[in-house]
Amino acid sequence: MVGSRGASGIKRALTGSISKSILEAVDVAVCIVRAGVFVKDSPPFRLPTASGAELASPLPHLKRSRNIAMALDGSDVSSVLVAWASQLLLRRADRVTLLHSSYGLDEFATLAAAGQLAACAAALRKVVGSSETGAQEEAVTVQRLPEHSSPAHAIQEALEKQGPFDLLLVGSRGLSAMGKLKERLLGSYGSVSSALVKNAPAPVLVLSKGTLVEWLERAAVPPETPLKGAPQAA
Amino acid sequence: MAERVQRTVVLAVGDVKAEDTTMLWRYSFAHLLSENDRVVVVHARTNAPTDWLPLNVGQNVAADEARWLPDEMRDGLKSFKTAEYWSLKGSSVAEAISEFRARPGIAHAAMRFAA
Repeated sequence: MVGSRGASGIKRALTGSISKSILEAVDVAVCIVRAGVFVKDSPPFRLPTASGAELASPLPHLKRSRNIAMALDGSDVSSVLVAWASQLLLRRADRVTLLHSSYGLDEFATLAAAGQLAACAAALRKVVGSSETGAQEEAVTVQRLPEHSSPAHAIQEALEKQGPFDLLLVGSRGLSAMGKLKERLLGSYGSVSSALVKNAPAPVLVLSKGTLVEWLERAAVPPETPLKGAPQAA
Repeated sequence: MAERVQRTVVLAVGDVKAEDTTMLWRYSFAHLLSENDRVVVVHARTNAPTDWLPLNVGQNVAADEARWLPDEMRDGLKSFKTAEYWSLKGSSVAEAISEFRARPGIAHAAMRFAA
C-alpha cells in the first residue's frame, strides 16, 4: 500500500515515481493511492472510548459494502486474479463490477474470453452478496466495454461514469523491454495497468503475473484454471 | 474473504507530509484492512538515526521511532492484533520493502497482500 502524489509530464517520464519503482521491483500486490483520488474528508478513526461504547466493535467499518471494479481481459490470468481476490480481498457485503474489453481480440478469442468472464462472475457470486436475500446476482455485474476504445481508456471512462469506486483491481503482465523504453522516453506508452495507475479515478490494486504465480505456489485451494508458467497441482 | 487467512499488509511511506500519510492511513483503514491483518508500516528515511528498528507500535506507541506517525494512525494501529513499525535508513521505499521481505521469517509468511 503506497501513496502517490502523481508526478506528471517530463518529471514522471524522466525520473519515474516511487510507486512505479515499487511496482517494478517487488512481486507483491501493490495498491497505489494517488493524492486527490481518495476523499480527504473521510471521517478519522476514533479509538474506543472509556465508556466502552465502541469496544464491542473496534473496526466497525468491516461490514460496510465496498464498490470494487475488476478489469479482466478474459485470459487465464483473470480466473487466478478472481481466486486471489476471493481469498484475500473480498467481503460478503462488497459489490463487484467486472469490466471487460475485447479490444484487439479476434472472434474466437472474444468467444473464449466471454466464457472465462462468465466463469469468473459465477465464482465471485459465491463470495459476495447475501444468500439470504438472494442478492448474489446483483452483487456482481459484468460490463463489456466498447470494442473500439483502448482498454485503459474504456476502463477509465467506465469508472468515471459509474463511480465512485472504492478500488480498481487490475492484473499486469509487465511491459516488454521496448514498452518500458517507450514509456520512459515518451511518458505516454505503457501497459493497461500502468496507464490506470496514473489516471484512474480510484485507488488501483495491481497484481503482476509474478505475484499471482507466487501466490499459486502457496494457495491452499488452487483455482480451477491453472496459470501458464505456474506450478501444477499434484 | 476467508477468516482463517492472515494477510501481511505493508503501508509504505517515505519522508512525506503528515497529511499524505493520514490520507493513506484513512483509505487503508476504511477500505482494505481487516482486524486479523498483520499491519506493517515501512518507513524509508534518508536521515533516520537508526537502521532497521522493529517496534510493536501497538504496545509502544510512544516510542521515539514511531513518534512521527500521525496520532490518528498510531491510535488506529492499536486495533490490530499485530502492528509493527519498521524504519530503514538511507534507502528508497522499494528497497525497504524488498529488504523487509527478505528478512528471516518474512519471506515465508503465509500470505502477502500489499506493499
